[in-house]
Amino acid sequence: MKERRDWVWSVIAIAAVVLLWELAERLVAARFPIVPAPSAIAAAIFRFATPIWLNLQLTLVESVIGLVAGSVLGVALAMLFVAVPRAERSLYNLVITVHSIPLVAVAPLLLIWFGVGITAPTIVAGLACFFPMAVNATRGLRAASSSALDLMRALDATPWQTFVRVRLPASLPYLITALKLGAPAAVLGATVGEWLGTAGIGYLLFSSMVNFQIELLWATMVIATAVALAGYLLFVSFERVFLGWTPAARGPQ
Amino acid sequence: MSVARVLAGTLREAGAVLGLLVLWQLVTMLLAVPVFLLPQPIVIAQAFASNVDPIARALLLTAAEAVLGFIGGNVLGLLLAFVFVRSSLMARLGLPLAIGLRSVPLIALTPLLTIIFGFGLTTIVLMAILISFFPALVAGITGLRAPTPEALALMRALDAPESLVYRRLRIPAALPYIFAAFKISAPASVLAAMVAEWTAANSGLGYLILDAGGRYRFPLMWAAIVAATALAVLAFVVAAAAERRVIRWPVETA
Repeated sequence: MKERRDWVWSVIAIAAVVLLWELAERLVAARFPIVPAPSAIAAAIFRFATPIWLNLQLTLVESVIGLVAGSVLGVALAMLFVAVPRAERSLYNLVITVHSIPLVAVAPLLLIWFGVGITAPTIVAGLACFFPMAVNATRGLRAASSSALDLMRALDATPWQTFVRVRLPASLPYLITALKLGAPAAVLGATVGEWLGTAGIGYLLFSSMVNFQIELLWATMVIATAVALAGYLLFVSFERVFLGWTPAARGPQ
Repeated sequence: MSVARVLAGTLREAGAVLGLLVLWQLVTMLLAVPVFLLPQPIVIAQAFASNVDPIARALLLTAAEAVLGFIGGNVLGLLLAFVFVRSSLMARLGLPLAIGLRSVPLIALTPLLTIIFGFGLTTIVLMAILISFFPALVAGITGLRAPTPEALALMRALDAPESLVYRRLRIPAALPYIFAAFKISAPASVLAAMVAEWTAANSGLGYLILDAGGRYRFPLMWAAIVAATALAVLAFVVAAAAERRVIRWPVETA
């Protein structure tokens, strides 16, 4: 019940801002072209629907591949860390250091290595979701209660059975948290990776800035935000549907 | 942990890094890896040595932009968190907006900011402000609301004024969350400043990396990447050290 009221407030707040913005634009700043009115941006989205959609497809493909590959590698590293604690001790700082390399610094390098195309943005997207996944999955695989682990040992379960029956279910809330962080991060990573390329949402943002196509720039920005938000909401609803038993899914976000 | 053990750990890590560098040097030398793929560490070091001046200038500029943005973003974020915790009406109206804004891919916003605020320092610092704003806001709200209802009820029963509740209860409870946010936003503001330099500057580390790559000066590019990484790591290490100095009690943050 309380949740529904919060929704109403959100809608009111957002509607108020959009309305004020529109009014301000019409009354005061009608000749201020850098910040178009919301109605103008909406119209631009329809007008530029074709170029936006063509570029968006590419960004979506890169983001999805990046998210899947980055997450799988992140979970694999976490499994290694949990199975072989020595590996964590010697690799953890290396992982943190690699994580500290700014993605912005890597993007031009990847472009040189792989050339213009889908590879470099996909790798940036993958890197962006790899680290949240590695950190959360490591924590998640350790989250199993010690009594459950003791029980499995008492039942003489194989390590694989313990992993599938105890550790993996216990880690699911952590994995979904990582995906909630990772999905928008993947879109963002792909976008940044495309800046220096020749296609995709990132390219569209960059080229519309350089060519001073303000309305196209705003329209692309809105779509990019909507896609990142949709990625986040997708995993929020996954959490609600499949992980309703965890406290995080029931509590307020 | 004893000093000897810390020292041994540091030595082992230094050894690992050194080993990695030697391996990198040998592989690039023996396989004759072309310089655009992966320069030899020695070549990168030479590029670093012969370009100390431009790299240092770019580094200081980017660091200054990041620091300004970090301070601005945290001041704004924490102030707003305070307002939201004090007034539930503001929180109801403002939080959805803040969350909506947070899902904007901020880095992708750079071209837009560049158009609106022009080529130059304003855009870059603003970008760093935006990046550090949201972690501070979220940490501030969560932290200021972290005290248990029992502790708050006790303060009320003791007739403590609101300012005392903040000084003794809410702010100490919020500090762990705020420092956790610092550890995220300190390196992130370096990143934000560097991205903004791509579109809004012809100086700084972000620009240097791009420019060196564009001119096929790959060792210089790598030297700048190393400098950028060092700056981001330094930002994190400083934030973590500050956390260790200030938070001297055991904490459990969710």
